[in-house]
Amino acid sequence: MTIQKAANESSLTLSLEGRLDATAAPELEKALKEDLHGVSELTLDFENLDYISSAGLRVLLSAQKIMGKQGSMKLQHVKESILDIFEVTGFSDILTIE
Amino acid sequence: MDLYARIDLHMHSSVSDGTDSPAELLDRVREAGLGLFALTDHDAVKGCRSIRALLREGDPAFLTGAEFSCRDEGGKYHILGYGYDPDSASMRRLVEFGHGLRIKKVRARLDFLKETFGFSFPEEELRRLFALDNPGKPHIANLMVRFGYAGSKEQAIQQFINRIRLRSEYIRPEQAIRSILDGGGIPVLAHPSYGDGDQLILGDEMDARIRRLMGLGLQGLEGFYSGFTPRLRREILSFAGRYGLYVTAGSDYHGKNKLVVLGDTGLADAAELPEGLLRFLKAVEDKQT
Repeated sequence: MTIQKAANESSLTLSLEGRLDATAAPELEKALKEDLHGVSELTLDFENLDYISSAGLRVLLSAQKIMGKQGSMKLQHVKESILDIFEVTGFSDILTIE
Repeated sequence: MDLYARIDLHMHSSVSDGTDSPAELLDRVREAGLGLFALTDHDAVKGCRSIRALLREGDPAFLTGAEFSCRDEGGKYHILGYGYDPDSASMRRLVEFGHGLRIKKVRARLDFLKETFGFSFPEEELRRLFALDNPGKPHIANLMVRFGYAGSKEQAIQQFINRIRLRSEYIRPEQAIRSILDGGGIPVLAHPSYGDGDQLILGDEMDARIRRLMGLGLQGLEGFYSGFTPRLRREILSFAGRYGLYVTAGSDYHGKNKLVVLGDTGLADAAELPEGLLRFLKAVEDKQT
């Protein structure tokens, strides 16, 4: 998986490409740990993300909890297959998906 | 039950893959205002001995814990053990077995890195690596970064270490469950919906898995977990209620490694402690008196 970062004052966009699985999840977690300070708007662009495993889901939930305290988080361009996973796990109830 | 107003029964120290030493972790637990906590290092009980020696009057109640990575023909599981005697013969044997498996895996990975990529490390560094309580991929990755073979720990794991597919031996779930029971403890299935941490197991598949593990002696489910949505939590609590299993609550805190916050179990969302958790707490109290 690759992560492209675009920061603009208090906004941060992370564009993910590839597979967010147990191998890649620590990389996203590290990027979030490094870059979330002072961010009030976090956007995760999933246009080129093909797969998410439960290790990725857990990182999303942690990020959602942090951003719930310091601002907002949204997901963009989520593929149907990933939306299905969000649906069966209840992530669609708690994430903001555009 | 005021003592247990805040519970976290799943966390890791530097004895396994956490970043806080047992003493630092105890400080964090005190700061977080927990009423009851358990240290659940992977395949290890050493940290629990350390915590016990550090506890002083007025500290949160402490429960021995451990998390065993298990596998059999039916899949992969993480089995938590609570309230066992760390000096019992059965738990000592299990921990030694698990440690031996880890050492074999580390050797196989180092051989692979040397043969495939020509990565080698000084003898002194290897001695230090094998002397660790719980050596694994992150420790090899750190070495690779230090010796310039990879730019980051994540790159070392993704691009090099994970290239080897080990046909490893594993702890079988019945082995872990039996050892925990023989050591006077309570075996509990960790983050059930997520299997070994990277699976997604729901509905009938979850039902079959729980019933099979109950047949091996499983007594509880980790129903409250930092990575669970309310929907996943409801499903696990429903299974626990249906089969009369204990319920536990854990964050899976690893320190600086992860975003997970100590004490974040989802229990704060519950209007009242579920019956399975109350029974678990009673069983724990009975063991300690």
